[in-house]
Amino acid sequence: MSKNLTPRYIIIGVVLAWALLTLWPSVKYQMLSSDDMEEMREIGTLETLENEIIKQGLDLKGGIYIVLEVDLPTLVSTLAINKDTKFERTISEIRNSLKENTQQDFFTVFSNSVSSNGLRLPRYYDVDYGAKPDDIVASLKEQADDAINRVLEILQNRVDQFGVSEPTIQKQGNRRIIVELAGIQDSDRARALLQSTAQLEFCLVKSPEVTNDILSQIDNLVKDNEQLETLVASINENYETEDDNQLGVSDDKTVSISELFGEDTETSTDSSDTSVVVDQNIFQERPFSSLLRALGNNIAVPEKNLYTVKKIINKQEIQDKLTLGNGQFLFAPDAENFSTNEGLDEKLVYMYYLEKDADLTGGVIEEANATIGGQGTSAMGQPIVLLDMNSEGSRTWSRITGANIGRRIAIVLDKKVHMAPSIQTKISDGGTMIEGFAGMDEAKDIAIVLRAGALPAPVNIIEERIIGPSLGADSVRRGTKSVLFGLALIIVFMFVYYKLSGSIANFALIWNILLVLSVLASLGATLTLPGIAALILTVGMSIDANVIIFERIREELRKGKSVRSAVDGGYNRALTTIIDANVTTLIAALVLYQFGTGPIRGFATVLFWGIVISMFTAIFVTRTIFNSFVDRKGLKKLSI
Amino acid sequence: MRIIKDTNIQFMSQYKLGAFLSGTVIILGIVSLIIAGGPLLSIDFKGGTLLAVHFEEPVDIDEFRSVMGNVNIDGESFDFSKAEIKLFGSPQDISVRIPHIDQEPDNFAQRIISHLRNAFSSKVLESDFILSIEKVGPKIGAELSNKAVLAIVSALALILFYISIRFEFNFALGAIAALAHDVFVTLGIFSIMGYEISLPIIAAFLTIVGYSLNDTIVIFDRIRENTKSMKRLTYSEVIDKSINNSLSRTIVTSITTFIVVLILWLFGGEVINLFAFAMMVGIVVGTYSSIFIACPLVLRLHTKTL
Repeated sequence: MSKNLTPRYIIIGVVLAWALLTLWPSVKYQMLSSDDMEEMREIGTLETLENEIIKQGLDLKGGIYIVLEVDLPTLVSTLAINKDTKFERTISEIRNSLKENTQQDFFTVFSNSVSSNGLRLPRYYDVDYGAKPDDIVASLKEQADDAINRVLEILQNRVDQFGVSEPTIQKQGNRRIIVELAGIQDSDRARALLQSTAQLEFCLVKSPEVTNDILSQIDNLVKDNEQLETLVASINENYETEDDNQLGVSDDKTVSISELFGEDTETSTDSSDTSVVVDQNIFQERPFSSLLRALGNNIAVPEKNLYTVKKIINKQEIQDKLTLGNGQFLFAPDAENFSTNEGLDEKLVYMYYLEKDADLTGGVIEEANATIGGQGTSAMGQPIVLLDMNSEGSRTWSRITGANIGRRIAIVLDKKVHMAPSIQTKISDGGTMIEGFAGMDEAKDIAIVLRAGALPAPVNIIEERIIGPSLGADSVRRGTKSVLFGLALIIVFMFVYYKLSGSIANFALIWNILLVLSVLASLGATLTLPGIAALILTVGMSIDANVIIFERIREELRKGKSVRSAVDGGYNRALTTIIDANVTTLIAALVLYQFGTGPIRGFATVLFWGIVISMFTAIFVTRTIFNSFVDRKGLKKLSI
Repeated sequence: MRIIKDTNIQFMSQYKLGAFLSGTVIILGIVSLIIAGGPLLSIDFKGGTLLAVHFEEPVDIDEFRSVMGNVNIDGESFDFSKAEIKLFGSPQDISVRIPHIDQEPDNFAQRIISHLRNAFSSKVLESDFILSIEKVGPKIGAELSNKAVLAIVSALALILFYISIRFEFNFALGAIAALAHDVFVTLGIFSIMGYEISLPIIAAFLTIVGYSLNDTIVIFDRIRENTKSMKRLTYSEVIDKSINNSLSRTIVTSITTFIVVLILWLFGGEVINLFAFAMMVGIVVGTYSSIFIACPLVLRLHTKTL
């Protein structure tokens, strides 16, 4: 083969130049000091550079990977009207069924449950959804698809305002959203930001008489239910021993909830003279109320009772009761510390009995800003969020506040009561303030989610991976070290075993790695830890191609052929072997890419390009170099 | 330099040795799998929570276990002392695996982390405490298992198809048998060692499949070539000759690839450790199976079809 080699050299030269050019930004980025980086960030060139470098996956950089799924049962339930006990029961039945067999499609289960329970869908969905049950299910499906797109948009909005560099938010299938936030440390905050439905509701607090009534109804239900009574009794026993030993609360301090609400509540909310009441004696009579504490004119639950209280409230028969009375129990977001008369601390969570239907929802919010409460307000020095409503919202708000002066209204965000002030005057300009945040960060995040809008349905986190920055850095260090070390050993081996020809293979190998990296950079692909592993594997594969060729050339030489015909023969015979062997590995890489997610895809991408490029370097590049040696006159012996 | 000079080993007459060796390893693996009740699956497939935390000084596993015995979340007390707790690469790093529980409280993993942070406050550096948190819902877990099985099956099917076209169907069967052998042996060894199968391990399995095939096909290719040029030899002799022809390449490639993966196993860090282990096993088994499983089967199928 003594063709003119110039075109081949041109191709090789162009590819090499391209590879170096694509890799240059990554090299430049690595060499930047943090000062340089800050400077570039200010003039805006850093982002351009970051787009051109090889991106590191979350497992290398540290960060959060979250898969969210829209809560379809809740979505379908929110869209329904005229909800009754039968409907609520069906929804919870569907939830249970989905929990037991996770692979079922929601709408199939929905249709089945609806027909087996004899639920008449047109009763619960207005005519816009269609007249026949099938039409309604079809439109609900459409709503679900629409919901996921809106969720996607809203989450993008929120994350943008949160300020993360290079967030990835994408849809997976038509029910899920994958969010990747690199370099985030505070995972709690990020999750809250994503998961918050941002459903802001203004619900009137039920009057003390009504509250008292529902509590005694629950007490009776609990008494009739042995299972629940044992649960409550065991908790109270714990208290008795605890009280005797530590608190020493005497019986005469006991005030029942009924007594409290019997009188008009003009109690001061100043926590210093609010006594914590331990309702010991009445737990026989009023098992549920005994788990609660009266705190001024509020009800509170000791943190350690919270689980039991929630469990009782969520019992079906009690939920039915609440639906009947059109009410709901909601809690404050966090527990607060209160001192008992004996000076002991107790952690209490406020509990409210509210109207089930909100009088006004967050859809009317036009602007939300976090700030610090000014002097003279109740939230002086505390972080607050100021709301502005649109004209429609302002009108409704002014009507509600006007009609309910003296009553309390709860400001509920994501089913948590942030505050429940009494309405003093009619508010006509739509301005409202929310307090009750743990800190300024929380207030800021809540302002973000309120501005970005409410999610059409709650989202559940179904998969979550958080990689701390130190583990990522450790992986990068060790991965790089392993690659370099492995590479060095192979280069030495090849040189010792195949001498000059081995050096040609080594040259091809380094070339190979550079090319794979530049392909990754130009594709905007992400390098993950499995990706580094694939790179190492590629090194092995690339060497294999050369080994196959060299062994063939040696064989030909042993048969006594001239250098040129041995090289030609070796390459020609090795070619089919290399192609067949590599194509099968390519198949494995493609399948991996198709079925894998995240890090596995990273592995498949690198493996795929590694194989393609190693075929190119082994067949084309090294051959060209060999030929230029062979073409020199007088080459009698090949160093192999 | 040459490691392997011209050899003339009669591999085909040694097939019984191969069958015995593979049979023993596979049976041991199956016994271990039966005892363990199937392969040990990671949270990727079963759902659950995996936490890894870093302490500034070594922490006693038993002390850690007792702290995990009483985790209080919203008044509900959880006992995680039975959870799988082990060192994560160094004595300062500990990982905990908690199976999925029904009605998990909100921010479940984060609350366990803060419980640990309080309990070991003197040994914890705030910014460096969390190494990783992985939480997989049971739904995702089931889906990932299905996907993994689908991935392996479809990879095998496509490869079978490709080899049938490029060679003949007997070769495809031989190659697939070797692959199934490799996956079973690796699975068995994982079970015996008590290592768990996670998503990256499935990737390793597929790479083993690719690698073992690579090796098998290099030999098959030689058989195809030699069948044409050595018409006077018996099929068994042709196969032996082909294996010997490519033996030098097989050894050199296996050694170089093995070295690379060995280094990854030794220095690659905790996260990549099991992946590298699977690859190491795969390289040894894959090389072996090309010679002792794939070729004898092709020979047997060939004599039957004649």
